Amino acid sequence: MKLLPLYSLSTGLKIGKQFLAEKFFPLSDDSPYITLHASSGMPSKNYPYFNEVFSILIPILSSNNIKVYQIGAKEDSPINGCIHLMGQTSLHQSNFLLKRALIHIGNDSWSQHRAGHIGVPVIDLFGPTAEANHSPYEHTQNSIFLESHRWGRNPSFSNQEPESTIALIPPEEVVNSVLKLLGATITLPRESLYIGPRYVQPSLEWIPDAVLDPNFAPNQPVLARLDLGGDENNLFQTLSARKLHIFTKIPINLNGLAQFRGNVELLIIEFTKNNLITKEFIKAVKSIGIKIQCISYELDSEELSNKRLEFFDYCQINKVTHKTREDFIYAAKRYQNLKEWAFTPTQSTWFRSNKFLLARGKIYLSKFHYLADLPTQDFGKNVSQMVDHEDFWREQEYFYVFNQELKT
Amino acid sequence: MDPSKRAEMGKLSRLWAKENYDLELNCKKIEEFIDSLPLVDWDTINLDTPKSNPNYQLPENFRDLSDDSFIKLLYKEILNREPDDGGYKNWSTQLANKAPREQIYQFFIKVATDEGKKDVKTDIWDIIDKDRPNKRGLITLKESIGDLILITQLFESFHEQYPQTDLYICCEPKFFDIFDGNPYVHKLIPYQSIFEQEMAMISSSQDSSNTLFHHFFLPGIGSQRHLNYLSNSNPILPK
Repeated sequence: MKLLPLYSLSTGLKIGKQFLAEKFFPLSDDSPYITLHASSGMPSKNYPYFNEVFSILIPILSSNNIKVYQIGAKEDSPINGCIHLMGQTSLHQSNFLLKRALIHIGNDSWSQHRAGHIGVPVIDLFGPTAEANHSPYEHTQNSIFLESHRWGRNPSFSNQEPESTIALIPPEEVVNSVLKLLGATITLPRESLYIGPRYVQPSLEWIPDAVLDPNFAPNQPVLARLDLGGDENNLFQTLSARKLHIFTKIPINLNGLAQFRGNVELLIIEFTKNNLITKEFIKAVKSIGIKIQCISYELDSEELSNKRLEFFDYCQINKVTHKTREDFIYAAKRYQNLKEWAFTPTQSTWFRSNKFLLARGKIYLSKFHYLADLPTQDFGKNVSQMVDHEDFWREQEYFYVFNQELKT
Repeated sequence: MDPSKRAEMGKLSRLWAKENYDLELNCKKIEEFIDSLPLVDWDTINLDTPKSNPNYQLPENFRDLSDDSFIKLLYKEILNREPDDGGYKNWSTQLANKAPREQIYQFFIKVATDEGKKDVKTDIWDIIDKDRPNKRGLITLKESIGDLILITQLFESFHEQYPQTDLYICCEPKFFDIFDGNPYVHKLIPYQSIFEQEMAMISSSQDSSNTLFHHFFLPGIGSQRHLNYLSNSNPILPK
């Protein structure tokens, strides 16, 4: 049962016309537009890949003179390519915008109920809630409701989900729904195979083989990969101007760390089989007041046990494992809700990376691409052919993998 | 690990745990702590919460006061109490670090204002328009925006079924603008849990004018409190 009939049933009152005041909101021109509401009352209801969707749609919409107005609260994440009106419109002004929209797109939220009632076609996405209960009571016949497969489970109705269910809706389904409602004859011939849990958040890594420009992405966290190369001078010069996370397998000059300790967000220390990290180093770093995290990929359980005993009074060493091809296949099957899946990458299998490794004055999409010296031209060109290689699989959580006929 | 080394480490661990977490040892520490506290005469102590004063104005010479006097003044005049150790230390540090006195004053005023809000007791009879000849109906739905927009679709029917009845809506004040200009809504009431208690809302005497609300609806009881509408034993699996 949907919400409104339930309210009617429990009160004994008939369902009539919805009332919500409308207030004029000045728009820069009379171009046709669609509205996007990318937030809702529950974080788990929010679709995380609207940036992906609109990176594909915006060029198509722009060429047809169609704009996208993003409505919502001022703290909502802005979606690239949209005109951001979050926090700038009152409820009644948002209502004004909805009424004139070609289409309304969003998660399960109030704007869907309103748009549906006033006859605007909606594209409504459901993860922890269900179309059966929470879709608008009234809506146009061509409205589209996209529901997560949720591995066949009932909706969680939970504010926070251990694994996001709404994230299981493939971006191409949203894109193609918009194109369909706009009467377009084209579709996006894409098949999403897997989207890693860290893909949604851009990630920057840098090998300190040169000083990092202090004006480069100043508010973006950067992880300095001392384990992959570079030298301490570049590290400390960069640290003098910006905050960094640091990853190392070897001790770092303590005077330098002490001098710039305010800019060291976190020091990640890896213990290897040929370990050079000493108790004195850990003790000194902690005494400086730098936050540390100790991990080990290489040590087996016996070695790790001994190392933990040795460093018992200084730090806790966490065992971490590298992701493998098998991990990818398992995760991709879960993403697609398939019991069996023969993974056969082709010339049309691509990945998009939201992780960038800066080294040698170039931009690389993964550690594999760095080691093979296969840079990309700029941050906007972050799609490349998928690689079936151990180093590639290690960073899979940052990738979006899909099949699509693309020009190389 | 070598078994003999493991045994040795186990022995050391047990010894360490005994020395630090022994029950008798810890009880002794608690006993010593209690004994060290000053004697309090609970028969004469006043347990009433002192009233704060959010309207207090700083004296003109507040910049001339020492940090110590300024802090004690704020506590005494605005919060009506002596400073606690943690609070005193915090404000002393802030003042030593050149925090503006006006800013600290504003913080105290905010605390006093918030404390004052907690003390407010609403008399429901003061909220309703009891002098009007109409009967009164109440719909209580605490939140949220989508649900409150949906229930506006029931208002027309309310007026058809209950003519000459003023419709009151009780919800969180942040949602009041949903009902702006709604011709069916007589008055909005800031949500308090009492407005969900049917017995309290419809309590009446033989004199109808002494009835708080003649009609009372709690639509959210089936959607926000009890979720059986979601399935009624039928799983809602995705399509």
